[in-house]
Amino acid sequence: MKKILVVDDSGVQRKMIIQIIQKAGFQNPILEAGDGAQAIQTLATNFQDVGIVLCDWNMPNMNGLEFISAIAKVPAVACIPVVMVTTEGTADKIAEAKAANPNLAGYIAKPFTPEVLQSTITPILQSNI
Amino acid sequence: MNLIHPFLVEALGESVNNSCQTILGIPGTLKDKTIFPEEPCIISSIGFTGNIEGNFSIYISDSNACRLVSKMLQTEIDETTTDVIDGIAEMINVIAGGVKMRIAQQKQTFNISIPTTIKGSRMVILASTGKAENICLHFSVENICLSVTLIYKMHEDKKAVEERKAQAHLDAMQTLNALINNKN
Repeated sequence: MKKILVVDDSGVQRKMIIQIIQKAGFQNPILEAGDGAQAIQTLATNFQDVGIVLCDWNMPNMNGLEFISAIAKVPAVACIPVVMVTTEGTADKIAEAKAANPNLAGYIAKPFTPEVLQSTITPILQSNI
Repeated sequence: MNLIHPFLVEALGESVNNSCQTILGIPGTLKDKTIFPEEPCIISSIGFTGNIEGNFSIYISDSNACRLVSKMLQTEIDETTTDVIDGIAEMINVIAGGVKMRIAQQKQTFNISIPTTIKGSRMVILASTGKAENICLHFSVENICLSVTLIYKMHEDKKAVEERKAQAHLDAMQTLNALINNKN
């Protein structure tokens, strides 16, 4: 079963996302990272097992845009679907994220409902078992 | 008062309401004022800069913050843990993001910074001095009271400022010429 990597500097936000995933019935193991740099370290040891990355934009050290841009350049991890989960929901920011990582699989603007998160990640996880 | 002010008041109100609805599953109710109990409280503030610059703050008592984050995480929290501080910071982050999305329709934009949260006793919200505008809205979510402030100022477009100066100069010259012509 593929792992889900949740990247957000807010511990509460990570907990909320994980709760939604688990309440939706997904039993995938979940990995957590507090910023882009930690997420890269996590991917370095788990890249073959990670089926989706849910990533915030505004984070210290390495932000979400820098992170998705960095992994897009590494063939081993470039194909992992990434979903941005962020307050940066304007059209120009979405375009910026898509330009940084052509494999961007989804974009969720905060605040979001559990249904939005579920409907975004379900097809990705189902096609990426 | 500027033209964007009423729009910002509406955007802030909508953003708080929408944040409460989606994060807590309960809409926030706008109140005339909030009476805070005599107890420690939390203020979480997030700055922004762009066409408009300033900061958003959320002001909530400790007990209300615990109740609010308990609802967010669907667990019972009765003391101000790091989760509570983090949860209130996330709330203002989401509210700021909501306002940002709404004002993008008015061709205004700003970048949001990282939240700062402080905890203390007998704190009060004061309006900023200088040219900043101040919006303060009070909400209740299932008897959880909170206040949200937006303090901001507009950055004038340099081209518009130059054009206004040039027009003022032209008007002054025309007035002067008219006076000279009348005397002659």
